[in-house]
Amino acid sequence: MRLLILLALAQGALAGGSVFGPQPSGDPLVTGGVRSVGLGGAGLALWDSLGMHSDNAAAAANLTGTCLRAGLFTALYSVDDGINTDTDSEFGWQAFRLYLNVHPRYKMGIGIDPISHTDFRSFGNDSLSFETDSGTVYENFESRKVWLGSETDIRWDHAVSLSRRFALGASIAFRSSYLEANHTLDFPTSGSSGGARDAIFHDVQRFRGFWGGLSFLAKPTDKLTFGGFWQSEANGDWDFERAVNHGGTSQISEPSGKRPGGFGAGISYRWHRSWTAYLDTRSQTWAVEHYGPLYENTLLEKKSATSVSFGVEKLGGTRNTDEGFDRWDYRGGFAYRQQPWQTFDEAGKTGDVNELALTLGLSIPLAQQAGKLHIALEAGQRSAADADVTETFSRFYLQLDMHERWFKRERRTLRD
Amino acid sequence: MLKQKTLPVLIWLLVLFAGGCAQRESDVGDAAIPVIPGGTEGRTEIYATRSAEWDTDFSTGRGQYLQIGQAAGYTAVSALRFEPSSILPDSYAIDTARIRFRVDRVFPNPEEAPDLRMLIRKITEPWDEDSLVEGVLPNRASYPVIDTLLLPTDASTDTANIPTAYWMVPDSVLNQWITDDSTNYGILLEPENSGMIVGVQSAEGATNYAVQLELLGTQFPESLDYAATDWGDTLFAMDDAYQAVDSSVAIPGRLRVAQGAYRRALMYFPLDGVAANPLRTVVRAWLHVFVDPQAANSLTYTGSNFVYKDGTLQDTLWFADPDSAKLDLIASSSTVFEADNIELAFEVTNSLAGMVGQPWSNSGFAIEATQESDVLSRQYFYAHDSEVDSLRPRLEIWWVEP
Repeated sequence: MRLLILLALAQGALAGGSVFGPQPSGDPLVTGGVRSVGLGGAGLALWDSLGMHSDNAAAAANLTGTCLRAGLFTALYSVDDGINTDTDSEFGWQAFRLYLNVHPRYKMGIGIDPISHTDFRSFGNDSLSFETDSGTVYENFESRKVWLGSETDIRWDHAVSLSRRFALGASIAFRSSYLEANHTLDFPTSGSSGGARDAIFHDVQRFRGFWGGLSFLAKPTDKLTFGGFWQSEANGDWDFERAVNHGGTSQISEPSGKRPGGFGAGISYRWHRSWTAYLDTRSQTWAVEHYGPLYENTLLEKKSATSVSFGVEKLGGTRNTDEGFDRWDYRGGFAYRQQPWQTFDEAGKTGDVNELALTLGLSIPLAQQAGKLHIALEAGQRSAADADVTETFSRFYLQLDMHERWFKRERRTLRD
Repeated sequence: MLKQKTLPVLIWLLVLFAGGCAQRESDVGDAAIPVIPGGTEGRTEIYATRSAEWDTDFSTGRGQYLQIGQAAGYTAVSALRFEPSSILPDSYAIDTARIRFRVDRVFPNPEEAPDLRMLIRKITEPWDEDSLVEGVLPNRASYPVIDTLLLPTDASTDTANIPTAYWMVPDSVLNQWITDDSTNYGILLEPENSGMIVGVQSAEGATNYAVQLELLGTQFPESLDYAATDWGDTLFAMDDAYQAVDSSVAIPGRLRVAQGAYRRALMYFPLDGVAANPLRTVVRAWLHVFVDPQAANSLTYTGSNFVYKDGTLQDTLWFADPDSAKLDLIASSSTVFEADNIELAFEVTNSLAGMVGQPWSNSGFAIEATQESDVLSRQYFYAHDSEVDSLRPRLEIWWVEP
């Protein structure tokens, strides 16, 4: 309880995230669960009954009971643009899932996944210039900018075991995206610019739409597993509102809005009873139509995001003779991601942002086989070489997978 | 004591807390962000499309000053009414009753002003200082003349030795005052010559300058050892106010703004061009008005203040309903007018910001004297239909839009 109180207090105090958060995609979170994070984001081919990769709906096919998943994370970012450096931190939730063992061959999951988030603020000194009868007059002000937002999927997943070695999955999801950009021109109350009236611009764009997806998990041999998923584009509505502080507003609605889909595939190889390696790749294409009204006229182009993840895991023992640390799972991973971000250099040309990350993770079994506590630490660097911006980050994840014991009654009810 | 397992968590959170609270002191990296909510700035000038003078009598001549004289189209008279019965002893004999006048201001040209020959009339109809507006005392010219008095006008240059003039109150008038006669309507001070306006202070003014009634005589106490003693007392007027008649003529293309006579200028600026973009917001705005110092009957009182008011017109077609301008007056800013000023610039940022955001609330602006019951003065401002385009009233607006 004390830990929860401390975390709640800290959440209110922490503010600020990645400098890349204001990108159209926001700052994408590593999805799939904290076990996957520990594997560098890999694990689409996880063949397990707990801690499975939640992006692969078919992975739930191996569940033996009901499962509740909840996670959170904290992150520390440090950005350097060649002149200045700055450090900021944030706190957020990771996922919330409930999987139900409806039938030995059919599992169903519902949940909320945060896809990306935005939390970035800055301030600096700037000026306006006005051409008057007596020449150019400059009004100095403090420029305060705040970007806030998030993108979330509410998913309904289905997994069907077609055989002992093959499962198919299907997903339907509602995607909601919110992004606001605020800019305050804060004029001083005294001095040459004193008395000018502060101006506040407030932009909000929202997306609401649906997407569907298919996935599979196949285990052709005892050592080899394949997994993959495909997500359609999300189709829905864009709403954009722009306001200034004297009350004027401008609203735009686009009923044919879209957010990008994507696909991913993974392979795992277990060469020892306890040791398994995972290799995943993902791809997503961001077209201009996916960016939203806020990014119109910003010269952003079509952009592909790809990633390659690799991880190795040592599972803990489950025998009665295994005790303490021997029962824990240990893993490590590596990821390369070309993010769907575009930054501008001094000449106004856009450039890529590449990301490298190393991850470590472990899973601690709870007493009486009630579930597992997954922990992961991710450290990496994002580099926008064209814009001379480098950001290092470290993120700490916690996730609790609680298994079946607490939901026996519900399971029985469903089978009635 | 913290438990061992709690301490590391707390340390971790404190580190994050410190990082989270750190304000970004510069725009580190944000130059690379594809969307920076910025803005473009601009300046717009809007000239008045309508303007008008507005002369009203809703305010009275009650104030710090009583004014008597004729100059620059003004005729100013002052009315006084004393009720001395409240200060009289039980038994008394009045030897002397006189009113003290101390000239405080002489304008417009004090050095050249002749002494004021003042007619003192007996008012024959009721009035009070709270309602002494221009139309009151309509039969003024028929009031009987009691006396005349010469007020010296060199007071403005000799503040250390205040010249004083006394008017000896005739017994017939005094008897009416001390007997609480219901027809005691007081006296009217009226100029007989022109070329100056003299200001004396009223009961609301400074005690040392105020017009006062002085009574000197003997009192007789009601006791067995009957002995008469000298007695004297002073009294300020129960009602005192001035009444100004502005007989100046309107000049085409000009707007008169008067102090002491309640004459205002109203003007309207179409904001359609600025309000066309609803996201445009005002950073600064000024209302520029220009004075025609050469206009006939200009009467400058150095140091007088002007104020602008917004939300003035209930109906922007105020020509059809002039009384609408009485409502919703909101004083927002003032400036001092000096004799060598040509341009007055009022900062109207806050007023105009609301009008731009809500164009229906654009009810124009009014220019008026800050103290409308103060020393008489009058300025002619260029109107919207002035023959000189650059001197027409105009709004200067600095705006930004996202």
